[in-house]
Amino acid sequence: MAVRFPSLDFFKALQQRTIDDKARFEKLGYCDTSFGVRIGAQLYAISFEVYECMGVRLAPDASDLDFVLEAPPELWREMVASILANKGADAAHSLNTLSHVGDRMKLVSHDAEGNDKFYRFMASLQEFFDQAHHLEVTL
Amino acid sequence: MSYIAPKDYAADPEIVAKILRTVSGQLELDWMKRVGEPAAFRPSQPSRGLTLDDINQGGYGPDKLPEVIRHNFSMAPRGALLPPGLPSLGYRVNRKSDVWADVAPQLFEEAKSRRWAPARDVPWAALDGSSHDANRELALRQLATSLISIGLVSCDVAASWEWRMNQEFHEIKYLLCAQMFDAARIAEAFRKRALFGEGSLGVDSRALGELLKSIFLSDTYPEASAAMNLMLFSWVQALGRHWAATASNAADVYLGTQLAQDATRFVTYGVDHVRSHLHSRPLQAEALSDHLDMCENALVGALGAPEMIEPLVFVSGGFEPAAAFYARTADEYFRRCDAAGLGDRRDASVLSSFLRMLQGDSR
Amino acid sequence: MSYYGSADYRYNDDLALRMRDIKKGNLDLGWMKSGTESLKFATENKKRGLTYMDLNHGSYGYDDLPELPRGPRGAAPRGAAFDANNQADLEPELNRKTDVWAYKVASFTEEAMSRQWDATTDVPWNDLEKYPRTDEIEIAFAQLCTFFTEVELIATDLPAKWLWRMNNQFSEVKHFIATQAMDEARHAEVFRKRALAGGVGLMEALPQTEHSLKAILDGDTYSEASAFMHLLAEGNVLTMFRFSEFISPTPVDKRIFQLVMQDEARHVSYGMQHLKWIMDHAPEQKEQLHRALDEGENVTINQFDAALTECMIVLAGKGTKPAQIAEGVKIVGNMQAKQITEYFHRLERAGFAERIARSKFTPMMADLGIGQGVKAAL
Repeated sequence: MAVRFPSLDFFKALQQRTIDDKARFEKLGYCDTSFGVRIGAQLYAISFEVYECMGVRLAPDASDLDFVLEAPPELWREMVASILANKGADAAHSLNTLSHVGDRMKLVSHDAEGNDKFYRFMASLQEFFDQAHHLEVTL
Repeated sequence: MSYIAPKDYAADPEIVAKILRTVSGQLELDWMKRVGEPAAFRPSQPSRGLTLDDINQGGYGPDKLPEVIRHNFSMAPRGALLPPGLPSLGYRVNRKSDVWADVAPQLFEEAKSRRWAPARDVPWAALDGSSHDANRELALRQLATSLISIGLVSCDVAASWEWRMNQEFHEIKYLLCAQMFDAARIAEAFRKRALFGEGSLGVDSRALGELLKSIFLSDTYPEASAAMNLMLFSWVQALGRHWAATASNAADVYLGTQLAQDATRFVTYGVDHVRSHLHSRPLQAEALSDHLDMCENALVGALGAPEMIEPLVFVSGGFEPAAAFYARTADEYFRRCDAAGLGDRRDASVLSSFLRMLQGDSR
Repeated sequence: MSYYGSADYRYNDDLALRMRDIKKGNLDLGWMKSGTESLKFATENKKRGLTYMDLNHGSYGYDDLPELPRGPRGAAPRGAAFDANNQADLEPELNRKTDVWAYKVASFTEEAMSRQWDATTDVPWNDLEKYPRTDEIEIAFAQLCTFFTEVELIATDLPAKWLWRMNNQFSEVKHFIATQAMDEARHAEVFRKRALAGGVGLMEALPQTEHSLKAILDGDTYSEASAFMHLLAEGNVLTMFRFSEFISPTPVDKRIFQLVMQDEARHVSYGMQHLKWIMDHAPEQKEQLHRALDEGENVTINQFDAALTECMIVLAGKGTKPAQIAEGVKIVGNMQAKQITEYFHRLERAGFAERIARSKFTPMMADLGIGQGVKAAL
């Protein structure tokens, strides 16, 4: 069944992928963070614990999130399109690349440790988004 | 040998007699009655396994540790019964506030969990037929050469303090072992990166060497930690991110990502360690700040050295993006210092003067 | 404070001018003309990946590294261009290859990198409950785990003590030592966890053992300390791990010992190959090593500690009844004879067979009536 991006269903489908492709996430190691993805007006909160995505929800604010990745909807679509086309984000569309300078995608957090969790668990978070290539996604 | 036993045990009839008693089945068995605090700890989260936090309960946990260790200088594990006659192994780091960070056990667990091996996990073949032009490739190899140096000396720094640390702080010792391992892996990965294909190493940077020496010869462990974990690895982490962000092949994306990941654990420990240290001993802030002032001076030398900034110019696509990279990284580093309880270091720091130089302001 | 470098960059006109030049596009580019060798490096075995052995060519390799790599004393990686008169001297104390090198150290390091395991998740901790043990068995096992937790970190502290003194030209050795540090931290961790998961907790530390650990840590040179630690002490521990796997009260414990023994074997192999390197390249060090092992064996003999030996007997015999003790004594006796036999075998393989006649273990075993068994086994 197709899922629309962006939507809560999209992130719930990715959550399921962390169970369906559990070995891949286990190989990457522990991932313990709750973070946000702000797409337009919506803030999606995504929680990881140990190896798995434990929950996704719409959040009213970022108060209990380690960090938030913010970008215009067009950029998010561009990233997902790259993932779908290449079976994983290409170098120009990885989370790190897009957020590196801070002018396209912004990494926002209220403390240094929260900020750094993005980097500590980067490979797992990238894998989370890259799993979209297993889904049927309408952009 | 420095330590000479008080007896020649091979010629000691008591030992032989003891052994003969045992082999004849005459066991003492009184040790069976000397049992400490019972423990039957289990994983609090089965999927995570049995972590250090799971077993750090009751008398076995670090909460009960006094600030100054006076009761044990042997290798007896924390919580074990301590009989008379335990020798001192000469540990010199015996204050909890000198080493402790609550996040350390978690970081050790994470380091083990997020392991990788450069030999097989880096997709080296992606470098074949890479689209880099020759100059950019030379620039990457030069940066890799510097990262090897950073890995080698960071391993030395962790080792030089680990062996002097009291066994009661075993979580920190474990974490330092993980740091030694991570640092050695950085050196390995970037040596392989520099040499793979038609490879070569670049030049040794004297300025980088002076920075590393300043950190290596820090007088105290808190100073070494602030300089290495908080300061140096803020830059190493940023370089990892920059490496991945400017990569044009899967191997460099992987290398940069892993470098950033591993380096962030150093930074996270550094922030928490300095914060805990200053929370317990606020008067140490001046000493730490002073040490960082001096190390930041050496950092400026390293960042401004041709063998660092020029390759970054090539990799970043020009002077302005390289300068912007420096500015962003400095900003993150200053924010971490603030979070660690060192206050706003921006104005006083020589790093700020350096950034102004890059902007063309020679004030 | 110790060292802060040779330049003050706060008001440094040279630096300011240089930044201005770079901004204008006038780069120095000296680093591009490093003059270092450009060689072809590739993965010889795709399954193994890109290893140190693949990089072992030309000025980057370790085979051609001389006994005395004159010049580099800083952070310069082997093969990088450096100026001996313009480097930050890190003042390494171990600058001879024979001080630290071992045959096959590169492959030991690669093996260590690929065989890392995790005490937290690779041991099925929750399964302990499935295997009931008597109190006396769990107490004996807790004492054994207390011993292992106590001793394992010496094999981190000792290598760490020497690692930072080694010249960075010997990077494969330094890397191996870093892997050993991580291995031993993991061993100390797993035995602590096991002691604290079984219902009894930690038991008593062992003074005689501690004196051995102190003797290792206080070794005068790296090679002397390595001979005592890697060859003798870790060799003994390796035999104990094999024995402990055999007498483990539960499959969970067997798994622990299967995992730790693979690491320990690697450390012992390094020690043996380091000793062999010395025998082949610096045989004049023999007497020094003899004296170190004289004292090492001496303190090892004193490790005959009631608690340690008896807990192994109780575990091997599966209890404290006289018949169980008798069985336990037989099994432990065989293990202890094996410790010596295997130590002697390693000395032979390292080219140090002359040590056997001089060993303090030989007359002692004769006193105990098990010398013939050891002799026959050799």
